[in-house]
Amino acid sequence: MKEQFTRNDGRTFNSLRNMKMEVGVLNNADGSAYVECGNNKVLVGVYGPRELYSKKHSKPDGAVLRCKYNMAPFSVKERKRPGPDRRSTEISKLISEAISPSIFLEKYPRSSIDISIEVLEAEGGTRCLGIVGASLALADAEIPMRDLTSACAVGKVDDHIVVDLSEEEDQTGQADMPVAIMPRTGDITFLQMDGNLSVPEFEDALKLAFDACFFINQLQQETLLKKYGGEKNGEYYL
Amino acid sequence: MVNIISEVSKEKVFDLLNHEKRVDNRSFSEYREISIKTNYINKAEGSALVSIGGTTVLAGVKAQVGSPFPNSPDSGIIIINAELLAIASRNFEYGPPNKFAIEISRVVDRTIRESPLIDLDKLCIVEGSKVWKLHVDIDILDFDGNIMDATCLAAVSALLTTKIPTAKFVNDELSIDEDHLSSLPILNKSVLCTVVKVNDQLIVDPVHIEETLMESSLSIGFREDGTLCALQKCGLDVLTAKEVMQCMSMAFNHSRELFSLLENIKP
Repeated sequence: MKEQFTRNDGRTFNSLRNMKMEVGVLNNADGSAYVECGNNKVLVGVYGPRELYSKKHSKPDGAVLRCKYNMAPFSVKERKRPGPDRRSTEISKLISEAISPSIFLEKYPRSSIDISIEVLEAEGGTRCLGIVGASLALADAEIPMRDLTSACAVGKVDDHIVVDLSEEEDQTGQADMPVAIMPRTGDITFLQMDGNLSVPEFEDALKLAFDACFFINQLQQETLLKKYGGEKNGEYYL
Repeated sequence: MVNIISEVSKEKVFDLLNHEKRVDNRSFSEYREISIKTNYINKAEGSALVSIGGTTVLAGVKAQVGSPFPNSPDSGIIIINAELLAIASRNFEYGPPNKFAIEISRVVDRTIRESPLIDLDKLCIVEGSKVWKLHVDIDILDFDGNIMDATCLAAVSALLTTKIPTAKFVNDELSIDEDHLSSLPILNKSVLCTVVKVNDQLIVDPVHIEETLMESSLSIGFREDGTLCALQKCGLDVLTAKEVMQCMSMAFNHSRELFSLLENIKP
């Protein structure tokens, strides 16, 4: 049943939009990444670990991960007023919580790791791309990590559970559920949902999100190997 | 928010949890006593004072006539804002809402909007120019953990008891009839239940110290028919898929209790 459902943009329930990832795209940042998915364009820069001067914010037993998610005024149809709003403040908090478990923060007391996520163009699913880009940029900055966090949104459109919602599906669909996991252990580090889902539908959606995250994780690994590994017979290795 | 917990207190909480006990002798799936007092503020169109154990929050609804958003010209507007007042805890500070307050506002907003609790289309007075704008402001007065659930319960209770005046357009002039009040068009009730993971164990309704020591939490918004309308994972640690499903069943059981409390609220 599910397999026959074709979405408005011609995709099947389990196909992602075209993705493109690149690391080391910025000159000054300690680590950086650029991620595209459909027409989404997200640029991530990482600075740190560096000393955190503010005593109020620093932690004696580990680094503080500070994350800023920001949308460019021209990234959406109606111009977005520059600066933080309620949405970006919430997303920033959640992304830093999604990334924190994967980093050995305890290795860097009294310091900060700063991640800036700039959304250049938005077409649905930017918070997940922000997470994907952030973990790539952290790896590019050579910050020791337990895993490369991967994220993807799933949702319900016309009563079908689908993966990687487009802007239209995000606005008109019945549910939207972004998920981030650490693929090695399968631990969930980010989970949000709004819309209408029954508990069995939620379980299906979560399974689909896991599959998509595993796939995206492969792409992330390839991206890093392409930059830092060697190539043999079209295969990349460390 | 800087929360300082001594090692001794931390060990005590963890020790108790290992023996399936909690600091206030509750079981893992037991809530503190909940009280809801509606129509608490006379000047507001709707209000509710909700306390869960030592946590107290006050929600007030103010209705104004305003212009609609351009992308939804024929539906009313609901704005939810939570404030962590400095009197509520030594860790709260004066100033604009911080990320914790914003997160609470937005999760409660989603729970109410996606349910949907209120039929916003019926709050339109003149398409494209005049609609009802409902401001739901929630003040956290006293903090002892679990403010997300308390805030949502207060907001829903306040909206259920809100009465707005009748607005009409007569001869191109807006007239508001303060004598004829009507309740809001309610569609589906919804509640928010949070389950937190402390010391790798799942508990509901944490007190302040448990919440400070938590690894992560999952807030789940339920409709009355048991379907989900909102989810939010918070906290610096992870949840496994199995834990998520456990949270879901714990929260579902509790949502029934909350709905039975809401049954007693009459507009």
